[in-house]
Amino acid sequence: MNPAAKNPSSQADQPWTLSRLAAYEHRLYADESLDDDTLEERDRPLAKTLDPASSPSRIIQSWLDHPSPSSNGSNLGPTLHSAARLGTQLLYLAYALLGLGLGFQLLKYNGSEPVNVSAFFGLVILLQLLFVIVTVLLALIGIPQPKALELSPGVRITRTLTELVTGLVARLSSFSLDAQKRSELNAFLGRAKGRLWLYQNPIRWQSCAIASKSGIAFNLGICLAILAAVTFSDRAFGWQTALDVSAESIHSIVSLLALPWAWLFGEGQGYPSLSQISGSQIVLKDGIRSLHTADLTSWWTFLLMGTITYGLLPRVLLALLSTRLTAQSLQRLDFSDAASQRLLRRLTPTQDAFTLNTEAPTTAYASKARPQPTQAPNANKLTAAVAWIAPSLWADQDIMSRISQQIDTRNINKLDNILVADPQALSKSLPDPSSRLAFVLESWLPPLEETKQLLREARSQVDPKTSIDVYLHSGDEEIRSSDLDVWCNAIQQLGDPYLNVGPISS
Amino acid sequence: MSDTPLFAIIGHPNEGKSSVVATLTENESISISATPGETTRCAYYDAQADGETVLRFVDTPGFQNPTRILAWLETCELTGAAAAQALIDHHSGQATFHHDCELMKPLAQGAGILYVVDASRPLSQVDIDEMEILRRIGLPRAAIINPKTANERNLANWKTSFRQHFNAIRVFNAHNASFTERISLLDTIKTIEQDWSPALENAISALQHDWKRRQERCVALICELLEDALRYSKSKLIANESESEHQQEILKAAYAQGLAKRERRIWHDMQNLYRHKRLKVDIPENSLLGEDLFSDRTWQALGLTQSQLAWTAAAVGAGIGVGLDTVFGGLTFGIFTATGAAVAGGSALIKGRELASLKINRIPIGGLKLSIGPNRNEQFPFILLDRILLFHSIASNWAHARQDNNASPEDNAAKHGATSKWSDPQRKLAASVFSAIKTNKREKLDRLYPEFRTLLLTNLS
Repeated sequence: MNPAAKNPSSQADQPWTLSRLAAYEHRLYADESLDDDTLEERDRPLAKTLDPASSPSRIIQSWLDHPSPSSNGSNLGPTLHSAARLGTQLLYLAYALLGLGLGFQLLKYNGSEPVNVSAFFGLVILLQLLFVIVTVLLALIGIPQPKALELSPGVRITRTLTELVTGLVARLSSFSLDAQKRSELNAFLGRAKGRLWLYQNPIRWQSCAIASKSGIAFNLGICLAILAAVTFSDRAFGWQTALDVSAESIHSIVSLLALPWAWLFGEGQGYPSLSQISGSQIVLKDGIRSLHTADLTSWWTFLLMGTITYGLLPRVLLALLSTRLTAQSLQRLDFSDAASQRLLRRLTPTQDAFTLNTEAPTTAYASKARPQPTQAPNANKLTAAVAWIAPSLWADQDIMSRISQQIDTRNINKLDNILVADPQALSKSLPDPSSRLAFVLESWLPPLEETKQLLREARSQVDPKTSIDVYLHSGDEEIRSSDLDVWCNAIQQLGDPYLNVGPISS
Repeated sequence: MSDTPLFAIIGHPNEGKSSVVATLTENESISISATPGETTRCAYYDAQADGETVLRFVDTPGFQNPTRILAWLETCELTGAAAAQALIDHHSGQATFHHDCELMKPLAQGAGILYVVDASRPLSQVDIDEMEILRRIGLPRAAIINPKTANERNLANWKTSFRQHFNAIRVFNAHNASFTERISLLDTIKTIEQDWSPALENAISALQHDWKRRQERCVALICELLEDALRYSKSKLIANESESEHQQEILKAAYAQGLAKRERRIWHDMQNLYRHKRLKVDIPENSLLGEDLFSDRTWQALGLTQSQLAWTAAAVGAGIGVGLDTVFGGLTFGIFTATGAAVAGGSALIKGRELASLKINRIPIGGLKLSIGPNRNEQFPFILLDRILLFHSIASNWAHARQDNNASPEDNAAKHGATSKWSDPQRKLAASVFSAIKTNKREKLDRLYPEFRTLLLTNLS
């Protein structure tokens, strides 16, 4: 038996990793196919051992370490972690081989034409120097790192490609899939989008760490190629230009670039002297026979140190920084999203279902594992700063009386046509951006595009982490599970992890 | 523009628009789903009669932005097809209005509007908005109530609202609608625009003519099957008697299969006539039609009762006796009549549920000839006929929107064992026809067939 399962609450917080987070998401996703009673029954023994005063992170970690009957006791976390580690190691190896290959290609010497220092310098050192300068400048002008990352072509290309692929999938699915499968696919994509948004900071920093470590492997490959080339073979290095550039100018640039290591390896050792630079200039019509061997070999230390200083070291620093920031952003996760809150309510049943977190959702996040309709006890009212009620429900006094008994709000409004036609008008009723919103809508009507637009607009007018609740009312009848499924899928498609949907008792 | 009337089936998502189109056009290939959003583009379907298109229907996606469209229409001074076109022009290119633009396309062509709602649910503001949109556009329109459940609590509210927005209202359950109900719906639509009335009258006449033609074709198929099945026999040569017993069983099975194959073929032909390509011939096991032709259950539930059978056979036997008595100029004092009736009636009672009699003949050049059939059982043709009539009632009444394939006799219990509900003269007529088929009396058959066909046609209607 897993020791954590014996006394989960006594266990110290484990550090979150992206693999562990992925395992957590997998467990949540698997639970969506189970109903609330089954989930409560399953988690009840664990809940009894947990300290409700523990942090959400710790409670969730305990739940994650507790074997799930649905997964036959196996924990996906270690498997994912191993797979991710193997994948990144293979990636680093590939980058090291790439660096090695590029290094040998650039250092190719056939005895008649020396290695072109300019090409090596431009491709290996100058590009990486530019990267360092841009990174430092972005840091200096105060652009937050995640946003700075968004400026990078890689991130932009990835984002464009993702949008293209999801657009294509949506288009293809409209031709080839029936409504049910299309709805499920779009719900899945929406959910993925929502979860990626939720974990955007750790994902970005982890990506940055992986990219930096790949850069380290690449530069190590280059350095290894330089060392191997000068150790095991004779190499002649030279520079050439068709422009009117003097050796003095080149010397000045070289001296400037070599400043970081000049204190360790001075002129003639760490970088070529003026005479060595003059002596290694290649004039095609004269060939290299007239040039001295000492001058022709003087460049390799400059190239090696340049690669280390401008390629390797910044990557090392960035890797250290991004690894630290990944860990920090993972530990900062507050698990305030709807799905996590639902789990927390289940694991800490002694707490009042709706006061666990003042911003906590009261219903399932677009989950098939639906909560039972709230029984509207006086103590357990649903809370909302502003609530809008669908006109047909608003017009029925009995229904409105029951809704008023269940939602604790001082600002209850009719969701009239003006608001639906122009959702920006929502802002007039909002006290502040942290106001929790609620919409009570007819369960029997499938969610329309204009309803989704209203919810998108509502989200744009409140904080990203403020809960927006959609309560479904079925008039005088019991809510149909098919209607609820349709709504859950539609809400998931919006990709908003703080948008909740669930029934309100009729 | 074609003279064929065009109707757009419009409404809220998941109200059964595609089901209505599928049933009205007898097209079971139309995708129908319980999940909203199945239809994402306009699709045109023809209602055909005798190979000619008599009506056109457009299946459309559901409204997605009724409130916003209504708000826009309130600022638009156009009406009719021009308003629909203006709406498309204004909103085209906006992904969120894709469905709304699609559903407006047939209206921009001047199509009549059939607004479909599931009136078993409560009326809501968006429904009123949708109706108001259609009223403002101003094209001829009717409301079709397609109830998904039996709940009628909200019907009054719906009807009140319909009266303010539509020229005609009709309840039409697309999943159960018979041909008569389809025609009634078209009769209702006829009233929404005077100019379309002649074209719709022609369409209704053409559809009714087409339906009658199908029934006549079914009658012809039934007569063909009866002749084929009642004369069907099978034989086999075997080398010696030692294998006789085993070969008899094989021959019996082949004979039963031969009859079943003939029965399946007529089912298949009837399905095609009623345009049910997908309705499974493999009827569920619990259904009478899923039973074997010679099973106990089939013979208990279908055909004539023992007394009906005896009296019918006696009537036919007596008929033959009457002929003989007549030949003797009445000198026999009705002895042939009485004897014929007694023999035929008694024979009908004595014969049980046998497949057919099996004969073994020795062949002069060596070996044996096993032969089975034709089936002489008086009950057999009645059972066969009952099964065909039962299948016909299912195939002809099966709405094309219904895609669950759960065909069973319970779908039309009234037709369960139709021949036992016939009058004595009708049963006698049928028995005479069967007798003429068995004895291969062509002239007698030709004399009896017109009346027998009329009897069958009455049963198919």
